[in-house]
Amino acid sequence: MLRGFQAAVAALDRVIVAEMQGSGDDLSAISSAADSAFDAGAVVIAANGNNGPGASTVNTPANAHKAIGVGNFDVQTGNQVTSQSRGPAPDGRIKPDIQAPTNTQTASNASDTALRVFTGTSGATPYAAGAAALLRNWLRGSSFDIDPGQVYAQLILSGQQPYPFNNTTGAGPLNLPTDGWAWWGKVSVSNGATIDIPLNVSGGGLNTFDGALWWPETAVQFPFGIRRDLHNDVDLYLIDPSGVVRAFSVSISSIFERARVTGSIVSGIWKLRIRGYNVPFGPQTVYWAAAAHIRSL
Amino acid sequence: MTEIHAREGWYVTRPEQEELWQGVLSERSVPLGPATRAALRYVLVTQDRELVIYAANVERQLASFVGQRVQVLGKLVDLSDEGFGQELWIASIQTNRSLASDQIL
Repeated sequence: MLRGFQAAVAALDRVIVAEMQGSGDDLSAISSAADSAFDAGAVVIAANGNNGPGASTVNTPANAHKAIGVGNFDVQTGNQVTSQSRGPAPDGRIKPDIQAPTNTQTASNASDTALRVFTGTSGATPYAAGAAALLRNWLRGSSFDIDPGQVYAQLILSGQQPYPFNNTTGAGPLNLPTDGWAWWGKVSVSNGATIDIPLNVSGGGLNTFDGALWWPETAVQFPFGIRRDLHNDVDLYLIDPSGVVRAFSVSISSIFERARVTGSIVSGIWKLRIRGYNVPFGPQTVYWAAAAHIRSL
Repeated sequence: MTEIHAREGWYVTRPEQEELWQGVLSERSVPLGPATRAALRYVLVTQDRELVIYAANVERQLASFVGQRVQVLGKLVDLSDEGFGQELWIASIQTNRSLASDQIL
């Protein structure tokens, strides 16, 4: 598994799909390899695992600090899947990060024309990876590369479960925003700091304003099983042109935030407010994404 | 008697009837990789069938029962529509040394 990550990074694969379902915690060799792949510039999309419904069953490397853990929902019914591994990660982070459809028909290796039904979070993860690849290509534009954290923030933004989150759905099922405006960037957040990012929204018919954050963290393992989690708590607020906070996301344990305003989205200068609520290990790099768009309700 | 999943919300809310099962608890190898379910790490061998057991987070508790005749209170859950199969979710387990092998159900 480690050689797989090394080979992918060496080949400059920019979106790595990890359907390993290994055992081990967020500091295991496999999860550490996933974190290193992110540090080398790769997006890592990992199956959350099929060991639910018990809590804290998320597998490695989905429990890594810098990988997106993908849960699943049934494509036909939209129902949650009993067997999906649940969070939290060993250090309390919300998992999965997002969900994608499973129980879909795909190619089989039985013959050149054979089909099969692919289930579990492994069946869902390729859809999330496809979304990540699309987002990455779009975000980088004509640039050679783009920071993978920027893709992660867009994936969280594309989840359909705003705050509050739980350890079954995370930020919810993926649905990429269309028909509107998008913004993204990254900032450095210190403890107690408030950063307002102005966003000029214009155009009629917009019915949804979404905002999301994602930030990379780590933890340190000491001898005798002692660990220290270097967690920072960053919050998100969406503020309309009149200065009213219309939505917020203030999860304590997660490393993402996601908020949504629905209804008529008035034109004007909106603000995406990022607040370093408790950032003892800062300054923290935080990736943000926002979209004002027309969503099918 | 050792309580396993009896108080978990996901166990309590499952609609299947609780039943008593008797047999010998064994370990089984579980593959890793796509579309696998590594939590099915044990199997209850009864007189006429083998029932895989959902053992997420309770592997160590169940390990002490391996190779022993046991009586299990649990629900037989069918996850076929998720790509898996029937599995036994356990509320509690106890050794049952008084059962002779020909008495195992």
